[in-house]
Amino acid sequence: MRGMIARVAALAIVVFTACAAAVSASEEAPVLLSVRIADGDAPAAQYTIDDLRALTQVTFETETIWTSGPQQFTGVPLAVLMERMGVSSGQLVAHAVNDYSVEIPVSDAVEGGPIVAFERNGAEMSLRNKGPLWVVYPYDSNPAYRTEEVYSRSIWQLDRIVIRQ
Amino acid sequence: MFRGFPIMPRWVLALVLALAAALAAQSVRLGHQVLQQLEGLSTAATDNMQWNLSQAEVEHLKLETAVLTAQRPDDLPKLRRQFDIYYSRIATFRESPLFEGLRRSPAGAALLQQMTGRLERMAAAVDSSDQSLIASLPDLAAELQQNSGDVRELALFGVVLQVADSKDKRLKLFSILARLGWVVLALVLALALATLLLGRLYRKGRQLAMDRSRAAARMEAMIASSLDAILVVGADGRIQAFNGAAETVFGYKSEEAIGQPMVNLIVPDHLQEAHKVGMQRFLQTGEARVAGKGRLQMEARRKSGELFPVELSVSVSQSGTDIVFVSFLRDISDRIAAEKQLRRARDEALAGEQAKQNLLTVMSHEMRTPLTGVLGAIELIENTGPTPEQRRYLQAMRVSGELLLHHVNDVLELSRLESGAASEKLRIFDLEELVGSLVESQQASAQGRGIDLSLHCSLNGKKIVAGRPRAVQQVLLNLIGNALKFTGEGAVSVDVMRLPDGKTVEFHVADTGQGIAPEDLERIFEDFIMLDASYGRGSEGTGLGLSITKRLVRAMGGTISCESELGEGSLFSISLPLPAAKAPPPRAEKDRPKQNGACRLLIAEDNDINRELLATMLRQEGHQVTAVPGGREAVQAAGEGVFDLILMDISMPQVDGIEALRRIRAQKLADGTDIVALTAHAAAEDHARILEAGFAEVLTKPANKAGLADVIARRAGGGGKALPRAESDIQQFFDALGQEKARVFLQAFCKEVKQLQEELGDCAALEEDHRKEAHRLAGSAAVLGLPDLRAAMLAIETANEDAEPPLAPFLQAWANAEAVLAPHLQP
Repeated sequence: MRGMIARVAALAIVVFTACAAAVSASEEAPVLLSVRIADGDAPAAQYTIDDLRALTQVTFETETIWTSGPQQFTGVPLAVLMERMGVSSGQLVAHAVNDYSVEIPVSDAVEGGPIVAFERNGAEMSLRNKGPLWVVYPYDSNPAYRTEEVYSRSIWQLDRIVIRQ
Repeated sequence: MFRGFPIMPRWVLALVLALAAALAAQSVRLGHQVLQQLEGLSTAATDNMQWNLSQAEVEHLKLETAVLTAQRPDDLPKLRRQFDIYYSRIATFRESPLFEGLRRSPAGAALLQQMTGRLERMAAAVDSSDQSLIASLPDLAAELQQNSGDVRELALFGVVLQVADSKDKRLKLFSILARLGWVVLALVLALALATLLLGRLYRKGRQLAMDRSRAAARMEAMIASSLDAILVVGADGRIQAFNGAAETVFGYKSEEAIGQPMVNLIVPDHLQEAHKVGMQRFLQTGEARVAGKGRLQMEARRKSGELFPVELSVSVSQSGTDIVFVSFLRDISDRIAAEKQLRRARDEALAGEQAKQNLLTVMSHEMRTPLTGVLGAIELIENTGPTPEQRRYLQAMRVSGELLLHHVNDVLELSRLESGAASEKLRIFDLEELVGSLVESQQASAQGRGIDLSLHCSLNGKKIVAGRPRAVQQVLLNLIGNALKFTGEGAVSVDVMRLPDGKTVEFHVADTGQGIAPEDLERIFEDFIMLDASYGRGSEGTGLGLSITKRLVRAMGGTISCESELGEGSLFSISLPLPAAKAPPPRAEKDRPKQNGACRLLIAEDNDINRELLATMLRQEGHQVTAVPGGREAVQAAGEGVFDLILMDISMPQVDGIEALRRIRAQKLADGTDIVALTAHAAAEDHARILEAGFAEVLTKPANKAGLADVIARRAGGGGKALPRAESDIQQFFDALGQEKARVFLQAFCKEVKQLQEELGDCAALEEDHRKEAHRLAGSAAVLGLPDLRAAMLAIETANEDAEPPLAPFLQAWANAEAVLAPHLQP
């Protein structure tokens, strides 16, 4: 109940940007992810699926608490995205399509850490399937990733990242 | 306190500590679990689920809104995306392990199934073309309307599930906390116990350390103040400690000695090699010949180089691989010197004592032989019909001679007892009869002195006893004799009484005589004691009677005591172990035909004159006598005839008495016949040897008639015939052998003496044959009543090897003897 007003406001913004995206998507590949630094003059970085595929890719297999059986994820390490923004500390706020948002410390973005996955089991993910982008940690390879905190940071249907330094 | 709490805590402590460690590990594990659980609770493990459930409702509402607001095709993409988001939520319910519980509960599964069904139907509409989607919007709205209740119910389900889940978790946490509590409690207890044990160990350790330092201080003081030199030597042979006494004994200062090899300092040169070898052997094999062997005597060397005797005791102290030798040394020079002196003094004293003893024995023995000759001669003279005056003189001679013989016998008896010869074998005899006849035999003497001699026997009917009858007899005879001797007029009473214990018999000999002064009571049993002059005047004796008595009593295991009052009389008490015994079966006498007390006797004796004399004496007593001159002949005679008793000389040429006895017994020539030894050897060990060989008893030569009669009576069952008085003298000799025979002997004797005289005159030194001949002739001379000649012969026999033979006395004596013998050589 706490954030009903905030969520309604956020919904308005989503509706607005979605319309804008829909307009631009009609001509070219849609932008899946935008990354910007809060309170900064620098323009947001925009990534289409091809932009993401052009970056360093990582594939790993792990089980999650939302799926059954081992899943193979492929995506761009969060660390790569942060590096591209020249950011090494602070918090990033990840937003989902439905305006869900969660804070992730930039320090989580390490090699062997979370990725922004765009493929699951070799196929791109639809919105119905928690796509198109999903922040996934390699839960199986590190017990420290099997905590509620990390689970809450594993945001799906990701579309924006705002970095607060 | 620590005594009562011994080594136990060591392993107990280890156990407790191990337990504490295990408990600590367990508590850490449980603590970790608790942390995990708490973290789970604090981060709301089901947040995610709750969020998902509530989001499903939110997304459903958004979708409903989107459906209700959509009118134109432009609104459709938004509707589709919203549907996709809702779709993904429902998909999560179907896939996620978080909703396993939901899917497994029948109601939840049905609910999910119903919602999935609607979702699929709506998806078909959403995925169709824009026109048909617009057309089906009212249907979608209706479907969503229906669906909203289910979504709500799903959310409520989540609440129920969460409540159950958090209850589970709480219970789990509680149980973990409870377990943790117990583990921690146990851990605390274990730690407390460990602390207690450690505390005790600590105090014990402190106590031990204090004890040790005290002991070390005491040890230090002991070593420093020891009168013995103490050296501590390491395995390398170097001195590690050297106390004050060692400084005094060896002359080295402690600083000089410590660190030096001991062998160079104090071991004499001639022992150094042995010392090194011994040390080497010990270190290699652990075999010690000095260390730990108690006190040893060795030689050591002082700094001055002086060697001196030490008493040494070495012990090895080993702790781990560290070996030290602790030596205690005592300078025993003084002791050794004193010991040497004492030993010399003792040896001299013993030698003196022995010499005295030997002198007494030899003297007595040498006196006895001629004495018995004298007595025998007196007996023979008395039978020649002397005049009354002569008879009186002869009587005086006989009394004196017998007294002298008695004294000599006393001395011999004493030396015999002194040399510890087993006097007599245990025999079974009638004590009452023995005492009775003994007292009876003294009655005449008592009446002669006006003394009333009485006997009272109280043996409780057990008069047959096991003991040594001759010793008992002698002891009683001595005491009764004494009592009679020292009682002028009065009474002597003899009491014999068996004590209630049944084993001991007490003898009391009481007199009313002059008594003994208290200060003398102690001395009367000592050797050669004659009390005061008047006492001595009133009686004759060697002073050996009571000391012999005492020795005899002691040899029988008894005791003797004396009470007396001067002027009132004396009481001698003896108690002897004389246990009652069964009477022996009467002696088998079937092989011993007797003819009026006459016996068949065999005599073996190499000395011709002695043999003839003995045979004649025995024949005069009515016995049948066979006399043979040697052992071989004795064996032969024993095989040819039957004898009641054999009298056998021991020292005979060729076959001696012992060998002859052995042959007779081996060939069973005289079974049932006793063989009695005749010997001049008075020494106790000789008697023992002879008895051991199998002789029934030993008669010491020269045997008197009474002794012979006694032996014959006891051994041959004969005798007892009144003996005619025999004579001794050349005349008696002639009477005994007959004129012809005696003359032949006498002639042979003279010839032999002359021959010896010639041989001795010719040769420079005495030969063994001469000695033997002299011995033989001495015996004959004694029988013929030629004491000077006998003495001269004995002098020759015993003369020194290299000295001039003592011819002068021989010639003188023979000149006299020839004059005496001359009348008898002619018929």
